[in-house]
Amino acid sequence: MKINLEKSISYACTALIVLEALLLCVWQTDLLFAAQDFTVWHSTAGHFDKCIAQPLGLLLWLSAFLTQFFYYPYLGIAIMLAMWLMSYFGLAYGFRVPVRLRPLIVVLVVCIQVSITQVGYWIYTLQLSGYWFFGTVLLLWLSAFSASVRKVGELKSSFFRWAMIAVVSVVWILMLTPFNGMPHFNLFEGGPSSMLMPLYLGIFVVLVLAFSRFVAMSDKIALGVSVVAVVAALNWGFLLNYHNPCFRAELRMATYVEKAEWQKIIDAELEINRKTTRQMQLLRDAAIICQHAPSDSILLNPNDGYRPQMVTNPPVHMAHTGGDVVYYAFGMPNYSYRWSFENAVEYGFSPRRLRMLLRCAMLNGEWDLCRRYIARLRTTMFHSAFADEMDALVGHPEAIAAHPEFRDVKRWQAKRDILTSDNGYPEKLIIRYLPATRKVQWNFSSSEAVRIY
Amino acid sequence: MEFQFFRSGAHLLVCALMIGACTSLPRVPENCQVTGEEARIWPDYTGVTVPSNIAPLNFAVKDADECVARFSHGGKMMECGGSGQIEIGMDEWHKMLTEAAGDSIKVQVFASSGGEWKGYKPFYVHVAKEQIDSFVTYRQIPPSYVMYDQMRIVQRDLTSFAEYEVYNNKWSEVRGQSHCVNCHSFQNYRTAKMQMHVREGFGGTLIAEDGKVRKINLKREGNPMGGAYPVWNPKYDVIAYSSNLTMQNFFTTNTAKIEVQDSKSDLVLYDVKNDKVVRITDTPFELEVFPTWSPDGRWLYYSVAAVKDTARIEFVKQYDKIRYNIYRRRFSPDSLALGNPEPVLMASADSLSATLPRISPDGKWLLTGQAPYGVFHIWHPEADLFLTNLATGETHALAEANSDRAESFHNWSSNGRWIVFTSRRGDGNFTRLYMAYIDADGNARKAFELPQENPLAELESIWSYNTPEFTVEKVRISRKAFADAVVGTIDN
Repeated sequence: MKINLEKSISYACTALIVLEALLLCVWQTDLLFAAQDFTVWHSTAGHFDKCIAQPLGLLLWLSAFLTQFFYYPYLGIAIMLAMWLMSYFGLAYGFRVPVRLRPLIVVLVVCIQVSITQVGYWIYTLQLSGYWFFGTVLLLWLSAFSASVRKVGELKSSFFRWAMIAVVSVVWILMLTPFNGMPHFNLFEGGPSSMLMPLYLGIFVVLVLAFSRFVAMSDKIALGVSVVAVVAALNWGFLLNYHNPCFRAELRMATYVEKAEWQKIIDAELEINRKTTRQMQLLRDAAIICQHAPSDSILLNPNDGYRPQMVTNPPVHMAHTGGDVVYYAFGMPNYSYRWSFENAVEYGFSPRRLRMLLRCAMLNGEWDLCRRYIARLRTTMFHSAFADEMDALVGHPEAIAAHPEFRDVKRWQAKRDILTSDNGYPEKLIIRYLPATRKVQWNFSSSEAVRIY
Repeated sequence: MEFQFFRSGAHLLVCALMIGACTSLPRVPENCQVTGEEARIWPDYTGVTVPSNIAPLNFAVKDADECVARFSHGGKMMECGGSGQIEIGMDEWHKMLTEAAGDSIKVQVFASSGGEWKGYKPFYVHVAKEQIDSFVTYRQIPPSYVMYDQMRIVQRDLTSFAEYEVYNNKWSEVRGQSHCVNCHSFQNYRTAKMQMHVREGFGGTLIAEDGKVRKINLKREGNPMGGAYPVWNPKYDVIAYSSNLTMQNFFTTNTAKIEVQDSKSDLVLYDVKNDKVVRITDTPFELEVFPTWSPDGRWLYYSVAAVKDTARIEFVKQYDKIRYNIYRRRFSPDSLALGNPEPVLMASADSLSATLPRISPDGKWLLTGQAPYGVFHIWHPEADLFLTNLATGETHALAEANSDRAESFHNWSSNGRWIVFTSRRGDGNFTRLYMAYIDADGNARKAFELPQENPLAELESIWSYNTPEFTVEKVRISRKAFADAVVGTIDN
């Protein structure tokens, strides 16, 4: 009976961990794809050196590397699941966790899941590349370390025992080098401390697990506590999925803009059965304009979208979320470049920002600048093919003008030069120049955007 | 058993090292065809003039899988190579450079692509007799507009690739608040006395003297805007600043992208010993900026533009009509008084705007950056360097040093034979440092880019280099001294 219960608990815990991964597959693929798009990782020695020059840098480099696999979200989730399962068995072995308390390890996995799914609009301003896999990597490292320590203690040969101690200690130190202070994490600047709840809870659970075999508790009570904890955690994990459909639609629309899939943008906005954000409405307007046939006149809806809503404060500005994409869709590469670069400087030269910088440089015919961004994209894992495709277009403005991804935007790229400023609000500049409530006579044959400016 | 394992492992390691050593220099086939084509190398070191103590001119060969370069002078030859770039040995390079001082080194490049080797037309690197100052200090920062994150002030040993971090706003001691550092300035090429600004978090101005650093606040009664662009008097403990109200606006189509303007700027002096700020100008219709001292410290040169309307909207409307000229005022060190302004270079008469005046150490030449309008010329692709003979007033462009993209922020070496300046000739967006030789007649030779150990890595770097300044010695102020001063309180 005891043996069967032990196996049942193990199977149940394993099943719950797999369920967590399935939840990500079903609800979070948009977010996870965007996660890799906003994560900085390069295959160069320079990038590696830069990462390990800070505490926990090796773990962060590894986490950012693994995040790349969210380019294929199911692949990234599969890797994450494998690491969770290894962590489960490693921790159970390493901490000698009593069987009835092993469900608490599932709570750790839920903490990691919540730390991913609650991010929402913070994705645009996270400065920690590798955030997405960091919890998983840290958990696996901890489980490997604890398992190694236990294994070392069980070794009969004193030589190999001390060699293992030395190796494990060196690895521990390497992970923490350079030891010049605790890492400075200011992930959610201006946000409430509740965003760090998964971390605090995770640390608490690890401590409980580490000392679990010393806890004097009957088997029934231990199992009861574990089950209640897991059920509560799963509820928390499910409820705290960031359920904002506008947030997800914006992520998809940004991808559609790059691919010039204008109808998909319009459809994405129409699918939302509630008031949409300003960014979505502007992108919809840009898509309508890009799609329209010459000499048609179109009536643009007033821009009355709302600002993005976060689970937690502070408020988010379009300049940080999709301002660059919106400007690009409206044929204003200078302003798009400006915000792409500003956000890249502050939040990382991630693939999404590098691609936008490259696209703007290509629209402007800045070929040497294109080559710099192409060189940088070539050191990413899944975006070098895009870089190669763009490299073939560099120096050929006629090819760019004919390319399906550039054709529409190029056609009505702003022609008249004005010195002005958006004061940090792209929507205001675009609305000021775009007669939102009047008919727009659009003369495609002359490709002039001058009526607006 | 364990000993045998280790012995086998040691054997393997030694073999691996030997193999690695043998394969480091590609072999050029003896029947390799030499064409008349010019090698496409980056950076472009063809025909440049370099000092006899400069670091190796490593360069990349475009589209090359492997490459070899043969450097020859005086019957001696040195061969270097690598995968896609030429990496030159330090000692061998310096030996050849010393022997070639006053002469030229011939460089022949061979490159392979798809297994096929080709030789290119040789080019020459001219070696001046005059050496260059040992160090240049600059700031590394991505070329952003308003936002910033990490930035560093770095001192580079020009005779090698060694870099020394003077300041990094991400040091653990100072990470508590986001802050910007800028505008470092040394006294007379030495590093015992220097200053730099800290903005936003930990705001203040750092004054370093003889290893000690203190933080002051230049914003005081009578000087609400504080100080911006600094220059330390070469002879006296006085720092001149311009005090600016700067604004940025963006073009909708011009690929220069941005126009930076001062809507108000004046000049102030800071008396280092007495911690006193003296306002030199307070003229709303004149924009004084970019002060610099003459080598004897007795004249203050600066740029100034006249405006008719100080409303901010008028600056935006008239942005391409604001032009700066160079003036100077006599300085009395005893009283810190400045005389009346005297015109030196009226660039506006030629529809140009002259900024960043720099006087050569022999007092003979005035170096300026000029463009059709405006003040912040690194964003102006048409900006170039000009040299004015102060005795005759004749001005000419430094044609060999200039390019078809922006040249800006320049300084002289201590012997007056070299200038360092920033240029965006690479891609129009990211700034790099270039150096050029100036002969006794004021003519420039072709400029060369700051040598880098790994040129290929520079191709995808997101850093810009700005505000370069030569020094003859290393900065000896410790990290702790800087960090303590930054997080510490204001001294005055």
